[in-house]
Amino acid sequence: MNLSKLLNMTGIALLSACFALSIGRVFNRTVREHDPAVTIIRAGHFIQEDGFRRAFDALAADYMAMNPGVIVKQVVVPERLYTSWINTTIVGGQAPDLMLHASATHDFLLRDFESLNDIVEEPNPYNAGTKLAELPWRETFLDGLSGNPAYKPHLISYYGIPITSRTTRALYNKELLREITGSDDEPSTFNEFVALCENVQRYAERTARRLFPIAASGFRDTLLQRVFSSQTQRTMLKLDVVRPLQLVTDEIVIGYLNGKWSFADEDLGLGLQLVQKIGSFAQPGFLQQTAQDALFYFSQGRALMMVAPSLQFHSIREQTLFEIGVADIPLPSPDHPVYGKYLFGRLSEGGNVTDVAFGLTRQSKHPETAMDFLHFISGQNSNQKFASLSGRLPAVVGVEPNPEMLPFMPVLSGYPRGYAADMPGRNPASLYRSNLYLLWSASAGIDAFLDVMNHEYEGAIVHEMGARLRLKGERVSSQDVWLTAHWAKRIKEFDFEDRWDRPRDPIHMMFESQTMHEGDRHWQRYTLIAKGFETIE
Amino acid sequence: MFRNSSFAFRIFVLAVSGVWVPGPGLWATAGSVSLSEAWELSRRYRFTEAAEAFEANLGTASAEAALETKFGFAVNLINRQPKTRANIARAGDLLEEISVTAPASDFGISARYFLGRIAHLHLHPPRIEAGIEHFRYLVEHHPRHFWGQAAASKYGFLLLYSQIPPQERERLFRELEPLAENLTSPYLRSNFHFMLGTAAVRFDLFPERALFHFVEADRGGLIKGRARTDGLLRVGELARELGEWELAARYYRKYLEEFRRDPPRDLVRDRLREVEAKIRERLEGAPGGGNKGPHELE
Repeated sequence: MNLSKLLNMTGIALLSACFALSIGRVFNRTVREHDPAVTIIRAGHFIQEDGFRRAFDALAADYMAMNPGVIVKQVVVPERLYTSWINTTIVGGQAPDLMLHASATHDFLLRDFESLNDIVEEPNPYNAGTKLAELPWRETFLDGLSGNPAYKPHLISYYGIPITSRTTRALYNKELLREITGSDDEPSTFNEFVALCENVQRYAERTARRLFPIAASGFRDTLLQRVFSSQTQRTMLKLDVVRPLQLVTDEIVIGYLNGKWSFADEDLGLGLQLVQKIGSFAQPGFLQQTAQDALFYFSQGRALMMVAPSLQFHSIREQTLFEIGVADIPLPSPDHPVYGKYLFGRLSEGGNVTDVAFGLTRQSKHPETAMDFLHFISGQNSNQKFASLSGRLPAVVGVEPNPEMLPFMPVLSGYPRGYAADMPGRNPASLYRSNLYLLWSASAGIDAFLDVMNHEYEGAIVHEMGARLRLKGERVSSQDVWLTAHWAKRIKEFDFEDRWDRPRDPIHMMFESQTMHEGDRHWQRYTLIAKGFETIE
Repeated sequence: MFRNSSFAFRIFVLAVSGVWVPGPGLWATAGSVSLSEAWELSRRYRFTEAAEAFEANLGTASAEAALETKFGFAVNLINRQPKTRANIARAGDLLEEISVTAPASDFGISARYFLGRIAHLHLHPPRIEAGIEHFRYLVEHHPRHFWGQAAASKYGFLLLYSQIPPQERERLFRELEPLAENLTSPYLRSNFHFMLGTAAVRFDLFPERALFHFVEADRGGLIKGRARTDGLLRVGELARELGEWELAARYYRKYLEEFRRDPPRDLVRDRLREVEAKIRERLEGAPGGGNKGPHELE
């Protein structure tokens, strides 16, 4: 037998073995899934981090010990493939029972996931014996399931049960802090923070090290947005037209066209000054860099500080060799002589904080067991175990976080946030961010930046309003069909006339949601036309 | 090709590609779908499949089901993707036919509602006047029907958000207010009050009437979420601005009681302290308890 023939035979043998193996695996899975004595619950997600996976497995093991004959598996898919994986598995009829669906569109949710509206109003049986025993399930979460990803307001429906929460904090390289300042203490005021940054710059110059006070990125950078919006916290109230005392993106958009705010306002000027000041402490070219680039600077010990969400804390810690300190994002306080004028006080982290919410797919072969498992993992005791093992923030009321996550716990007292020029949607945000570099350009500065904004921002806002108008029109129209379908199905019931007007009937909840969307849409349309712009609907 | 393929063939493709090939169930034909199932598809926002299901029943439906089938087809056709002028025009023709053939039937009334919707929401440029006419007809001729009551808020939106002089808007606002009494559903009445209150705030019309409408909206039953927070806080804010301190305090407290984790809580607490101080001042200044606002006398 010559070498070529041997190689061919080996190749064919390997191919056959792989083919047989894959057939075997499929067959084995099919047999197990069809074994009437075994119930397999699969939960799909994209969180690769070990701590999360270990904690999930531990809860699954507890559940399986309580329920012989049930097997709970997690299906972990890399984040960048997750969306295509969801689509493929659903189209192929192979969707797991439970799945994360944070960025799913509303028609996708309606088509492929079960609404949890009724079940979240009932107590969670796994909270028996705790203080949460009598509460509706949704009330047992830190935010009462008030928003994304658990609750979808325009669908008036709950589509997920969260197991953790998210906040954002400043992370410090404690070793570097000691090296530069001789102390372990993180700055406690805004002025101390600025002084520390200047100290780092001097230290870098003195030691000829390529070292920066802050590692930042230009994409969705929380630090610069928080700094900017701190200056509009008080003036945010002047945008308040129908949603009192709260920040609403629609009102920022319309407010600009109605002259309720402009780049000539003192508060926005102060905001830009702060952005310029804080940005000057970041690594050069940070606007073109990603969060991963910022993390690289920080983990290499080339930046003292970075701002990061709680969800990423553990992967950041795994990539760094030094001790990390966690503190609030440094912002001015109301008594600051320059930047305190428009502040109420510390930002509230109340509202929508829970995250990583599993939804129940319509393809689930065992929806009751899958829901029972969701009840189990979100019971107070299980969430306590999850928080301790995973090092993630809890999602359930009364659960103590892992001690190292204490500084990340959401602070419920405080005031609503202000607005920033990159908040009102994609077009204005893109214009704002793509010109922000002017703030640090030696030949430009704040005036050059303002010049661009004054000439181009209105066009971006009008474009944004057009997009919002179309989106709201589509939602209102979809809601019409939903209402019609409910009505057409139910008028055949003999007691429809008596029942449709009962409290909390889904028909009323949908009408209420539609009235809100429709009012916003009419207001946007009216404003555009009144200001002489065309509407493309 | 896959639709009729054998199980063995699908297993083969599965093994080679690692992707399951769906069976024939996924391509179930629309002809076999009942009206109830077609409505269920609509309720799940599957407009294309729902339109196909209704369309497949168009020729075969009994006389009794014919109107419903035609109506279901038209409503889903409006939303079928891609949205085309031809689909909208066809839906409009079908709805027109239903509303002329059986104007007082359930589907005749609902067809009229959707003719209004097409006019102002789906045509470009929109025909606002035509929308107003359809909704006015429903409000006047079928004030107690489900769609007649739903039409009241839509009618109000189209009138008040038109490009008209402020005096004309004020007149229309006054004209619309009594319509609330015709609405037998407390929830749709609440929606109507909310629409009026919101328009009054947006266009800076009669703050006292805005307050009245938000209080009525709450009384009728603002159900949940954004509408409820907005409604409670709006009453608090309007009442505070109008000097109705007790009413403001009551609504601030109601909000604080119901929304325990909302970001504006500290701001609302500050407001509550402010109005409580005003109440104390008034009580101390006027031994009889001072003047109360109209809502506090109720």
